[in-house]
Amino acid sequence: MSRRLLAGCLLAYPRSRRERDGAYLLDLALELAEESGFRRQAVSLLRGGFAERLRGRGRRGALLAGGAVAAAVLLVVGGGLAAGSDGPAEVEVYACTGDCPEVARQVADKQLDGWTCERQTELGDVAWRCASP
Amino acid sequence: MRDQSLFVLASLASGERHGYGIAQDTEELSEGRVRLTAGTLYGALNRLTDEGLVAESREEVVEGRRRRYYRLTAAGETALAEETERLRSMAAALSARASAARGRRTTTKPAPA
Repeated sequence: MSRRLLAGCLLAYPRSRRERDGAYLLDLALELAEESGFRRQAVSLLRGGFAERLRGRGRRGALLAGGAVAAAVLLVVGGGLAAGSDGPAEVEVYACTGDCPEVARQVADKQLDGWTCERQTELGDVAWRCASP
Repeated sequence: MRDQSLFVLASLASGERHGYGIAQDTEELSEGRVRLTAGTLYGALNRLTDEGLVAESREEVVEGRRRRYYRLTAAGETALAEETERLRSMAAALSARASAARGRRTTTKPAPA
């Protein structure tokens, strides 16, 4: 299950990157996940993929596309965890790089709906992991 | 230069390593302060490769897993040395200022009531 989830998170990367490095990146994430847990690696892949899109499109274009990327990410992780036998029924992960008021607003809306959102930052990237009530 | 990039360069200064090896070495070198994840490490390696500071050296498959090795380039060695020197200078300046502040505090007598 963890392999499938991590493979799903690679969808956050642009196709060209996935085709070139996807298999290698998945193996690296699996190896690191054995020590730090696959959720941490999953979030890092989502953030990394988003950052890669930022790099590829230029900051302005990527910010405009931010909502779409966050939504794609959300489905992958939510679906992956829902398939597991334990943990919350529904988990959504939002990730972005730099200033991202649109994504922060989506997270705030979730919290207003009673979701518990945990904010994680790592060297300029930010991600929220929201669990359903 | 970001912390993770600096640690990646420092890790490769002792010889070529694969991604997992870089992550392990970085954690050890930073005494646990910098823990690289797959996404962060991959991004840092791509940036450093684009900048010509590191280069892919080879790939191998170990126990069914692909491992890609990286090495420091000459430009990477220079960048690491320059960044280290910059941090050393900055630390020295800050340390001198902190020592001066401590000195003032210990020599300043409280005003009479």
